[in-house]
Amino acid sequence: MNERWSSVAVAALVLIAPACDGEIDDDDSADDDDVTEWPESFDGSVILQSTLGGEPLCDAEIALQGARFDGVCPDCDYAFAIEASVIADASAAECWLDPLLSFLADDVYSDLVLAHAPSFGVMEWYGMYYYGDALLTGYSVYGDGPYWWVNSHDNSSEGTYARSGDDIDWTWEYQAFVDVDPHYDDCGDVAQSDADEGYPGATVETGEIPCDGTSADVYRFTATAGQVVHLAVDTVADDTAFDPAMYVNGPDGCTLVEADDSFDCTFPPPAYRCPAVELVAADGEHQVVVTSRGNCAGATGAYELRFDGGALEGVEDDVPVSAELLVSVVGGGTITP
Amino acid sequence: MNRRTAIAALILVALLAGCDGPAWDVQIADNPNSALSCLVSWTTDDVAAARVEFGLDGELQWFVEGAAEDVGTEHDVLVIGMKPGSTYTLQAVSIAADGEEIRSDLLTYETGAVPFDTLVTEVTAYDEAAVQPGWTLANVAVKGVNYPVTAAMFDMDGDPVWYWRQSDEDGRNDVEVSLVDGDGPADQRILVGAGVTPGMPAVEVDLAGEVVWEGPEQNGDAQLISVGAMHHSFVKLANGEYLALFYDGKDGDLWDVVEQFDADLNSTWSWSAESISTDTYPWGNAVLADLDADAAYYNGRMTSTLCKIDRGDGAILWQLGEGGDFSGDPAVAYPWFHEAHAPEIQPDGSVLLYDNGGASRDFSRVVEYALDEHAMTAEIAWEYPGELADDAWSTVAMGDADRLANGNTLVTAGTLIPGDSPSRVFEVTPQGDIAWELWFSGTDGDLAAPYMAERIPMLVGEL
Repeated sequence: MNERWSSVAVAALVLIAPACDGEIDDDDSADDDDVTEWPESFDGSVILQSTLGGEPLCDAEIALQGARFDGVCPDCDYAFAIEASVIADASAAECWLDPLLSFLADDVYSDLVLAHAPSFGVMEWYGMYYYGDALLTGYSVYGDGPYWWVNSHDNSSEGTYARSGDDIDWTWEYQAFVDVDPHYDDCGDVAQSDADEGYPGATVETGEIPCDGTSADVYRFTATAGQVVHLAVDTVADDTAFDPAMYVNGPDGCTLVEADDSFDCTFPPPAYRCPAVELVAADGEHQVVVTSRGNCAGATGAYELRFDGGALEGVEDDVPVSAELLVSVVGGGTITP
Repeated sequence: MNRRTAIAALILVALLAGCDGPAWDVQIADNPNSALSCLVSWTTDDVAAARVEFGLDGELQWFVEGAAEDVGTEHDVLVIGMKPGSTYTLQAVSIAADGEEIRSDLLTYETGAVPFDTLVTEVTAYDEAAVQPGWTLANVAVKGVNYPVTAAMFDMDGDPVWYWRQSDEDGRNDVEVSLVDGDGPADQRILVGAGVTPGMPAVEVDLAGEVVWEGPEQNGDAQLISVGAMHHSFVKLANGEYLALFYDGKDGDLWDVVEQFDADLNSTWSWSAESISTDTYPWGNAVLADLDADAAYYNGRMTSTLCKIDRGDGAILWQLGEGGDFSGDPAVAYPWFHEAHAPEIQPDGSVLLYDNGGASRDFSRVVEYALDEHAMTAEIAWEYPGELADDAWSTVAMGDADRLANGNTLVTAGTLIPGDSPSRVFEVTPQGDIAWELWFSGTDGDLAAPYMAERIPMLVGEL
């Protein structure tokens, strides 16, 4: 489920519309003119570091050798086809040196380009967005490209760019919480609970989890095939109210159903509702995982888990399900006109 | 820019010549909010009403009157309705209680340039006998969808005659502007909402360009869809409250929430589009309310459905569109709309909207559905397909259609997307004739397109 950790794979998706092909500039002759005016070469390096949950993940320095790009880069004032090579690498095994940041090609991404445009247009739903002072990474996907990712721009909250004479420097910093849940496994489709009531349940377990959603509590129950069971997570006090969620795994470890906002919590959180599930069970042991979606009255969310299918056993407390990813990129080099 | 002439910058003193009344001074002051507007001030010894007449080429063609409550001896008349870079002749008029008019000398005032001077407008059709006369109120966007939030009024010649700019910071593309009443019909204001500049509020501004009401502050930034951000639709209701559309979401999902609030921003009604049963984010682009019927409407672009909502319990009463609750018109090739914008409920209950067409066909259209809410049928009562126009149009985004008082329809068609049809606002008769057409473009071949436009009365009188 949680495969190798990309330093920026998630970030690149969340960021500003990375892909844009050359169609936005129809004036090929102008582009040709641009090419002839671009500087000759670039010599530089980039240091890429990241941590996941406070633990070192990526730590690599990459040399960058650039030659004038011979393709189309709309409105760019320079563009270099980059040959990247690792100078030093102290990364953990799970690290993936993202090509868009490291300029290292892999099986998917190739033809990496470092470029800059004073104004770079990206097509969005309603028209063109223009990013000022845009540092770009160009790339091909399975040989198709170039596509352009805006590394930094004049209003960027992640990236910086500066040019002094022929020297350029850039940084890129990113923070996100990423999924590290060891129990969630969709194996295909996961049903969304359509329960609309907080089932009472003869069995009640209570627990507390951090509000920030970084960990979960895990329970298990055993059922027989076709047995209909009901589960509900409810809040227990005003000062510990939060927005809980849960999912249930079948005997094969696959997640069967998720529940989030099914019924009004007894002690309402600042926003949203409590989860409940009606489940036709399989034969064997099932897992119930209770998590927080935030919206808490305090730092900790307290809950009761109600179950009407027999015994319910707590098996894990505060299992990490989310971890903070921090990525830092520092790049720079010299342009030869 | 020729922002002002020396005459405009100074205080003019004009002695009234050849009149029986006392001498009086007339002062002309720039309007700091607009290069197309000035404030004319003077004092009379006796109580009088005030009017300023003005025009081009030395003639007096239009007039603005002082507010009724300002009848007295101190007169301040806001002059609007002037074109950029033009020299106007003005004359202040005092009207005594007995109707006698005392006129100042003829004065001159030179307007400046608008801050959106890269916008190019051209009127290519104007049938004065067929049009609904007035001005056209729209937002301005040139080159890209990130553009400083600007509301502007254009006369029938396509020239800007009024504008207001929120700041030099970029807003979003989906800015809705409308002419609304303030503290009464005589207190006209311009409501600017939805895609306003991040960190700044939706506003009402008066005709002088002064902000007289601040609404919710825009969330997020100008590029990304952000939970909490206003988008696409921001209207003032008949009861003086406001109805607006916001992005909402949770756990990475995205949906819309419709919020109604009073002038103090207290929430008075709310409805979540999460209640629509769909796997697709509907991406609402219009919200309406019929307070008398206790109903609201939500238009989902990506679901291609218009939802009627019971304001009492939030239930969806019906969905209009393909796969919805109405039977389509069997007699037409394209019974349904796709990725539509700007639905407008007509007094007879029919629905007029801008049908972008999506991937279903290669033209857009404006279409009006006659609904039978008992038989649940939706027949096409009128349409103006883009393929029938002299210059066929198709736009994948944006678009507006307003039914005018004379029965014509004002259509806004155009985007900031290369490859879409060029941008225009046109008035089409029920018979499908173009009565008026205003094209928008930018200098250097850039695109320019308003998100929406509406025909408003000319806000100055005609002599």
